[in-house]
Amino acid sequence: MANNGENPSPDVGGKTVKLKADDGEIFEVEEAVAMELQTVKSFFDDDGVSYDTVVPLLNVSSTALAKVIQYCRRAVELRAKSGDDEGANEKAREEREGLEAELVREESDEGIKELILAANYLNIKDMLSFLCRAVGDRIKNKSVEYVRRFFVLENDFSPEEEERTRNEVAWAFEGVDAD
Amino acid sequence: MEGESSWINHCLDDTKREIGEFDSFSELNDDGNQEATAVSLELMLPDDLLERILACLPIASIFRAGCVCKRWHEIVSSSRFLWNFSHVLSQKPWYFMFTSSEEPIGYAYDPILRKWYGIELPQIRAPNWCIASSCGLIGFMDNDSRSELYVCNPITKYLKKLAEPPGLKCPDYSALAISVNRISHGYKVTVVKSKQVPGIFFEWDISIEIYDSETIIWTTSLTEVLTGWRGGDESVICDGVLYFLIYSTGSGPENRHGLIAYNLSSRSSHGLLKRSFIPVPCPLTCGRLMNLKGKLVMVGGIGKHDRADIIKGIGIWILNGREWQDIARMPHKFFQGFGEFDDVFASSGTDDLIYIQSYGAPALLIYDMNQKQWKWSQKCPVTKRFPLQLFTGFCFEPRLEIAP
Repeated sequence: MANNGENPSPDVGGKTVKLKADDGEIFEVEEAVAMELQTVKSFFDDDGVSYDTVVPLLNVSSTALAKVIQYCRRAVELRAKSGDDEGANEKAREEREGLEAELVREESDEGIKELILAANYLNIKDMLSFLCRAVGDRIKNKSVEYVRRFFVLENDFSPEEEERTRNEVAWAFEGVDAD
Repeated sequence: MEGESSWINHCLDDTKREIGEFDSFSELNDDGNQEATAVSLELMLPDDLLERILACLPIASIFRAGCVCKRWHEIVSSSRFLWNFSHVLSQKPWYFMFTSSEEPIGYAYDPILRKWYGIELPQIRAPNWCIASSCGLIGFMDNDSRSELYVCNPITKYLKKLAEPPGLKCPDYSALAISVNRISHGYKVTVVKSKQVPGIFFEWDISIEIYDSETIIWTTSLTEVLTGWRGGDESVICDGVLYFLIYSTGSGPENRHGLIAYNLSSRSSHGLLKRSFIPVPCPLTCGRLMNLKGKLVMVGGIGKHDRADIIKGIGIWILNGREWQDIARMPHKFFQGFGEFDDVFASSGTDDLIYIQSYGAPALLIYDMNQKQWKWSQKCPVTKRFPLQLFTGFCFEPRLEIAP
């Protein structure tokens, strides 16, 4: 096992939790951050599960988990900054929105899909919210064919069915972005 | 944490521990290597996740999403999706502009995507029909006998015909209003009828008919005779109160417009309308009433004191109790941008947006109450074909889940 010194945990020697990604990679995270992942929180809410137990996250890749942890760490920090002060709250909110925008901007389409599945599986409410909006933004003005490619979906309409469905809402097809 | 340029690098350095022989080739590179990803990515999104993404989309995109594949079509048509969608904050209202004076054809403007859509309105036969809207539904009534009344969702086209309203037949003026309950999806439709008392030109019979979708019946809520004033075709319901404009029939009072605020749950009593009178803030050339987030807002042409039929500007007021408060004045450059501006114009609004449109041109101006900004819409894809062509329109909230 690699030594403990690599763990950056900026805190006060608080408890940490070990999370295992699908490829076996282990991430050691501060407890407060780990509890942002509701799936992890539920895991420990069960009676008798000790905090030393490694949480197996079979459906999450290490890439995605690393990004999730990083986001949650920043989110927890920002939440600590905001309090009763409106100015501080506002500033923290802006920083969080900046963080979300940065995360989303740098992701490829594949990456963002993977993240959204991870956030869903790990049950992280805020992250899931902005990721859904981000995916929505990416496809909102795109053609049907583009959307099929984005989600890797087969067109299972017959030509007649497809034409009929499109004609019902012909007006919605005006002015769509070129592929 | 501060100053890192790439937080991905940071976290891989600090938190990564390898305990197996797994190499890192399972990581996806950013270029999205299709072959490698096709295997790990049965990124079949579960239905509820897909619904969340689709609910973030503008309405036109949701309709296109239904053409992606059968599963998606089922999802966007499902009642579960529609119910979840109804809790999303209301979509910004669209403005439908009739582009012909005879045919009920036109385009609907989406202020979010800044696009005009050629949607068809069901059943309506002429652009001069009375039209009212509330929360995704529109009510419309023919302008001849004023006996045909429909309620529909202009996007999904679900339509219902209402029974003919009771009361005065063939009124001289009719004002239509509708109010939808966002929670129960029930709605009320009101018609304010005005008919001149035969032989007495300054006396007018006013009646207020109310339709309740829950009981499916019409009731006559009030009848009263007004002296020196008549009703018109401008009315709106805000928070259980029906507001309608009345017009002076004589050369009497300085302001030729007045407002009546009628509580729909009132019990009829003698002279109630007269007691519910609220004067307007200044001489108006025309007034348009709308419900913006439950408050009554009026857009009015400001008339000169001595020549009230000459328009010198356009103002927006909000009613607080019985007092009007100035919200905005249309800046001169926009006023001029309309070119020839008649003293009467179309204006309609809901939620945060007010649309103002000159009858003489297909130009549309938008005032955002929240941002306090004036902005032209994208140019409507129609041109004026002959000098006397008139354009009019109305605004409505595009919603998928509400049906009459």
